[in-house]
Amino acid sequence: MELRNVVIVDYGRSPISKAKGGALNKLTSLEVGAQVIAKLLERNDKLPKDQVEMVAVGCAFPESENGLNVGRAMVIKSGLPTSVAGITVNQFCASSQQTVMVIADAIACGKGDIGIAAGIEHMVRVPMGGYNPAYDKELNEKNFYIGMGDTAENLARDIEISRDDQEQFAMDSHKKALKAWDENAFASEVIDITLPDGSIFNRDECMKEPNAEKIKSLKPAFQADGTVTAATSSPVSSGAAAIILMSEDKAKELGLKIRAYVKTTAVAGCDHERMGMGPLPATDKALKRAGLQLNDIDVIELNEAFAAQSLYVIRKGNWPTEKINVLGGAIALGHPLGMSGARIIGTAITALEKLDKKYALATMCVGGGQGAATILERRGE
Amino acid sequence: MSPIKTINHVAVIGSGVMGGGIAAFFANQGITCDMYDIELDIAAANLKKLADPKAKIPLLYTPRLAKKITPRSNSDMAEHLHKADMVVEVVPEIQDLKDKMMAQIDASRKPDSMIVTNTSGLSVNRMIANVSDNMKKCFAGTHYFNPVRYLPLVEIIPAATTDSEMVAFLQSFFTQAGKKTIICRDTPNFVANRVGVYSLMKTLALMEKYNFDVETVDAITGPPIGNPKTATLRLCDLVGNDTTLHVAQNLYDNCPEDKERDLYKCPPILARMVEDKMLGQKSGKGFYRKEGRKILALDIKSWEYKPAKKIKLDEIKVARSYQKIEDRLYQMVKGDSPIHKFCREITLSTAAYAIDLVGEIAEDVLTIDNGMKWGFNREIGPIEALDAIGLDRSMEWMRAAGMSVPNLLQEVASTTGSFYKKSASSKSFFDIEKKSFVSAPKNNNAISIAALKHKGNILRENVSARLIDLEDGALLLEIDSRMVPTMNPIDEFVVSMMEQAFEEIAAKKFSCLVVSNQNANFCAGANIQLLLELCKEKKWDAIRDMSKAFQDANMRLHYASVPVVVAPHGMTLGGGMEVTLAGHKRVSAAELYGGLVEVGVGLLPGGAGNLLLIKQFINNMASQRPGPVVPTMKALELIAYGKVSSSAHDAMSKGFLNRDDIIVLDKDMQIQKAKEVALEMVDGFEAKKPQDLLLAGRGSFYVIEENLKGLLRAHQVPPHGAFIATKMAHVLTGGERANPATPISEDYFLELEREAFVELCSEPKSQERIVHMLKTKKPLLN
Repeated sequence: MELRNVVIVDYGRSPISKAKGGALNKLTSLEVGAQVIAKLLERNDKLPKDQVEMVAVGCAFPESENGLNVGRAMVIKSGLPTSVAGITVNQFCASSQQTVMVIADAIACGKGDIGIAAGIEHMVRVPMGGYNPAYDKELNEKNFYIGMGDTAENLARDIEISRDDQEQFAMDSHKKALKAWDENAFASEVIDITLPDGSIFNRDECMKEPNAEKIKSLKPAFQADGTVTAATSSPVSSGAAAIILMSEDKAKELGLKIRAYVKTTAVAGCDHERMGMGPLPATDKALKRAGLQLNDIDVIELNEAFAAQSLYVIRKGNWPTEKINVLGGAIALGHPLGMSGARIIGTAITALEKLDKKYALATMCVGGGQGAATILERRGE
Repeated sequence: MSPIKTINHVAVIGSGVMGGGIAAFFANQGITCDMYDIELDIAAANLKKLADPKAKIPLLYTPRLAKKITPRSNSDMAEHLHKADMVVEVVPEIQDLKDKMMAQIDASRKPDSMIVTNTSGLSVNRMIANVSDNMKKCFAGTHYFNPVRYLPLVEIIPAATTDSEMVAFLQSFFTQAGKKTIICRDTPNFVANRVGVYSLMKTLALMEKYNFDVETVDAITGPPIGNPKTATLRLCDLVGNDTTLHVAQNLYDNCPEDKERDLYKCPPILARMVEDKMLGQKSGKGFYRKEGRKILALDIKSWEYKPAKKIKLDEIKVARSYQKIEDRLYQMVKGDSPIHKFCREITLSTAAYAIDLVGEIAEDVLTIDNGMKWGFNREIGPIEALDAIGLDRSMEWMRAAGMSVPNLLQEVASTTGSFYKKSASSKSFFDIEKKSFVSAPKNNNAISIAALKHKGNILRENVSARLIDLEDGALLLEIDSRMVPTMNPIDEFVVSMMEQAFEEIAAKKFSCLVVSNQNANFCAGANIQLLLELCKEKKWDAIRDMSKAFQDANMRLHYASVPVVVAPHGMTLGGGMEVTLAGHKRVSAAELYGGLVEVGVGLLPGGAGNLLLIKQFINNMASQRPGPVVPTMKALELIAYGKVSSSAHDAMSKGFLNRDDIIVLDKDMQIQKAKEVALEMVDGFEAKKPQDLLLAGRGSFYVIEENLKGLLRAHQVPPHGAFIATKMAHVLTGGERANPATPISEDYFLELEREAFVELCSEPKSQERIVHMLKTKKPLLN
């Protein structure tokens, strides 16, 4: 069977809200996600809604108000016809990168022409770990459930990533994000969210002008003798993102602008105590599948779970810093877990378009010891 | 028309320390309140302070009550003031400002609304010279004490024109709100501040005379003579030296006839402190200064701050060995050491000053003594103090010191021989008109345990508890430790009396049980001294039996065939909270400092507290279907951090009390209310039955265990704290047997609790925690 080309025609996301006093705290993820999808479809009015095969919603903690197959709930809530299917995908932080893979694979195989890959997370209303966690004894003894901060500490220790370097990385992320906002770089991707009081939420809340003195004064957040602090970790945050995928033929038939091709994707496993290294094996696989070298990649969106984890990937993989997270990363923008996969794929397209480049890599680490990677191609036509 | 006699909405004008405290007082009662200030921003900022959950002295029962208060600008009075049934004026003590404010209030108030001033020094009658006749009738002084929530006194100062029904209404309103009132004459600084400031000024003068340092003065003028720990100079720092100076000056200016007037003439030490901006807490330094965690005291001679010394005095040691304040006070004043002489002089001169003012500032001695007790948290009033010393001896000492003996003192000494006549059920005081004892007013609706005892209602008694016939079919279990009366810890005698209560219920057919007392605190834990001894002797079986006996007693309460109402108040910690949790309903005093704080002594609740708490969470959350872990985590958080409620409202939001439990503002009415509630529950009461529990199980235990390890790695919990919390998690998740599909019995749960309790007792680090607590009264974080 010959695989079909899969393209992304549009992408949108909510602004990301912070934990304390966050603008989105009065909305559920379902409500935020439904607004994103509905408004994204509104601006793509050529798209016949009844031809959407499926909405896949990624969520790292799909329980409570994110439970009950929130993917199907999203179909109805966002005003899509009941004929559209809805599923929920859990792959922790890569949940919505995985939804892109699920939808893209189906389209490539001819199982449907149009799909929406979305991601949500409300880390305040449904906290990390969920409400009713339980561990398996044997896996626990193997430290399978190791805290994410501890995995970052392990990587920092492995190759001696200093606290100073981590802090510099975090401050750069904030500066890049602030600059991107100043330049209105997210105009095409950020979708206004209407809050319950009727006001409009339209700007990310987490990034701020870095205060070096304050950052240096913080105590280590996870290990008293460690180097990882709250400032060098991605913040607890909330938001939703959605990507419209379809076959190349369908996009052309509908006369929709193709913003990027999904060149290939990959997932890979790694040591769960060093889960932050996941982007390395995943990227290797993806590059091979795409027949590309890292040098060919123009733009890299590397999800910044932790500065230490990002620096580990950069140093171990000898990645080109100047191509990474040019619009700021998760440390500054926020990392609503299930939303981030779609967010970095979308932002990779934003960056490709801004810089007028061809290839982008969006990659991230995943709790439990995994990595996910997607390679996008932007064609000049 | 007479003044309005309901209060649904109040306006407080002034949002500073007093205004904010008064607004909080009304909000605490659920009364909506507009809080005004010259600018809206100021009122809003002060409201934010009131609502701060980290406030050092929380004035609201819970920050959520801040919603009852709306900040407003004075310029909005014309629009909003008419809504208020009562307007409380709390603007600065400047006559011009008060006059203007009175005119503004008069212009915007609704007719018949009550207008009260919180002035502390200005004349109430003078203040309404130019207002409407209706306002004159509806006007009085209501003088609160700072911090408003914690000092019970409200001085009511009727003006000459005040409607008498309004005065009666105010007395009853404040009493129901948990306040204590006295009626004062309209004289400078009224009653409590008049005598209180005298006592303070006299202490400063004596400090110089005796050449005592700051620390010594506070050590001897604090608890040893019946004053709170703030003593004298710490109190000055709290009030603000500029304020004290202002009040003293007010007395000097307005009391030309005062025999002790010269004392109010700007004392040099205070003047210098104010000049040097050493105003007390508000300027960060006064008689004391805090540097990080260190406390420095002002060395008067060098005018420099030096680390505060710990004062150890034999005189205090001797006095402390007496439980009753009368005896303690006598011990402090009887001898010839400089300490004794100082205490004698301050006690006698304050008493003489107060006695001379009877009839001038208040009608009687009782008002003055009550004012000082309720306004300054003193254990004994200044005039009452002479009864403790003996009037003849007091007069002899006064003469020897060259003081003039007040006429009234001589008269009382030669007629009734004392100012008061007290018995368990009644209190009389010397009335200056009748020249004999008259009964002190009392609330006939309130139940007095002392009176019931006097009446012969005691059914059984041991050294720590008592069973008392509350009448009408209700039985009272009174936890009342003779050995540690301030704390009333649970011990074997209390546990035995809990069991005996059911024998009495069966024998005499009581229909309900109330558990409470009328001491300072309900019950602040268990006898940890005894426990420590058992630990040292490695008597684990004895400890296990002790835990089981208390578990059984609490579960017996919980499954009783008659309604059990527990009425906790003040400190309700550890064992006291376990008893509270066991009740079918609680009638709590508003001031409830409750928690399961066993972690502070290295333990976990060992008297069924874990079971009762998690059952309460499971039942209360059942409709939300939160899954098994959420109630577990809620319970664990409370006991692992030893969280203590800052009020009954807070205890409700933390989950120690249920939403349908009852909160009583007037503590005197607590037992009466508890009895009523218990009797109401009798008809149709069905005993609770043990239920198997579906708990979170092992999988969740591992989660908690790993989280605790993480907190430990981040040094966010001390090592032994994490160890104790792990044991707590083991119990709360249901041990090895439980899982979300397999219920366990309550007996199995209690066994888990008991074994964990014994195991923790055997841990040397837990024993270190007990020793540290006994020694320092503070928890050890090892």
